[in-house]
Amino acid sequence: MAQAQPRTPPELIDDAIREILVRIPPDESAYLAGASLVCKLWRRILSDSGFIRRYREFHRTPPLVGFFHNTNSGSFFFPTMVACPFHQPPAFDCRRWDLDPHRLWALDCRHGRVLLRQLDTLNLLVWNPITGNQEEVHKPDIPYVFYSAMVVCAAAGCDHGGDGCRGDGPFLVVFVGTRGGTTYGCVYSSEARAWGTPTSICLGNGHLMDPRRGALVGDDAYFVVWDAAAVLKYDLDKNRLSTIDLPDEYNYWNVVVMPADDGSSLGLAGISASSNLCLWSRKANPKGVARFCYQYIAVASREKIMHLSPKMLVQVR
Amino acid sequence: MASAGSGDEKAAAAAMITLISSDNEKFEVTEATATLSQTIRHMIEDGCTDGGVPLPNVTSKILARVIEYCKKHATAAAGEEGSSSSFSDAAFLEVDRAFLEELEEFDDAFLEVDRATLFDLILAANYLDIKGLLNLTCQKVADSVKGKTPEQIREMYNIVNDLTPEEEAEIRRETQWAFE
Repeated sequence: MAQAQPRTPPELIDDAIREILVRIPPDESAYLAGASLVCKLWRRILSDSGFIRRYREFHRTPPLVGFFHNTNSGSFFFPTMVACPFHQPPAFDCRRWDLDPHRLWALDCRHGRVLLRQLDTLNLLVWNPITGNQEEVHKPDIPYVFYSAMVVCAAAGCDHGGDGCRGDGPFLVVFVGTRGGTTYGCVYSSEARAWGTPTSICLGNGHLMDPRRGALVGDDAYFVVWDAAAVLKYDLDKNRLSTIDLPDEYNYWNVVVMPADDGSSLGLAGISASSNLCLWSRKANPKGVARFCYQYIAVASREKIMHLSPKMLVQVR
Repeated sequence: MASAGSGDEKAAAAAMITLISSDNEKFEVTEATATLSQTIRHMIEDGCTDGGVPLPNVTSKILARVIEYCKKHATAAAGEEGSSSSFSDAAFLEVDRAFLEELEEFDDAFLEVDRATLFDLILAANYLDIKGLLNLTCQKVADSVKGKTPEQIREMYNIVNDLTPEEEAEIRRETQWAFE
């Protein structure tokens, strides 16, 4: 049947509109912002928590909302995509939440939370950039000059980073600090609202580098130790510290620890003297002895990767 | 092979389902085609398809298109099953790939419809719960929304702007970054 005039499209039901809007890719979320201006119904659908859940399910990979850059004058948050309509933008505005970048230093981000250090009081601050919630954590009562810290979701059965992890449940703060050849560690529980019993290990000359991100693999937290060619392992389950030697061929600077590709073993990245980015992952041989295995090498210019570590990526699911 | 083939044919012939559109037109389809719709699959499982399946939300024009899609994709699903059980050589994979390409071409051509038909297909796919068709049609609309201003989207899809100027200003303030 030939139609002179195109037919007026039928009205879509909420479910159908949701299915359409869900298919707008996360990296093009500016279009979602535009879509929220179409009409009340679209706006309501986009702001609904059910939509957020569906959007996350559909795209799997959480969008990167921005990163912190620690500088001599403070810690600044750089949004890379800022908010979809459902990411309440005011939460990203540090001033709105009384987070003064000049008195903060970003230490870590994980499981929907950011861990910051207050430069005046030296207390810690756990911040959820989506809800804007912040919780102050008093500094631990252990001796330290150098330190590193990590924030970890403590919700039972949480899939950390999956759909169930919202960043608003209980959390742990893992803190390790070095003074006089001894490295101490202790863990804060938001449920107990207190630090646990400290533990320690002697590292000789080794000390923790300037605070830089550690890596969480299973129940173990890992931090890089400077001048000891080792990685500090904090078994959170047993509250025990130990060390892992760096690869034999280790002659790298700016080393960072991270989970390996498979997510279940420890990975390591470093820059060689010839400015190549090298990656290792820790694997067990048939005898069960674990060691770092060289993974691959990526040629890069030193200028580009010199400041590999100070920027902290904040992923928001 | 021949006897197995005729057996299959018998089974297929026995499992025909009648779908009845909103304007009372009847469509005979195989169970394999019909069960691409989860809604119909559940009805078959519950044994309530005798005397035909009435689909009061779908016109004959749209139902014919939906069946066209399901027939093509049901064949594809059958092909996949066959390939995993009896063939594994490269030649067959080659055929498989050619078939997938053909399927892609089919999908592209299938989407060349006016907006009203596209919306009708979305509503039908949603109601009948046909995952592939819903994905195909919704993605087409989502792609068309990209790069459009809210005014253009409203114009394209015949949507009335019922936001008050105050609400609009508030949303623009919250999402200012997107409009710079």
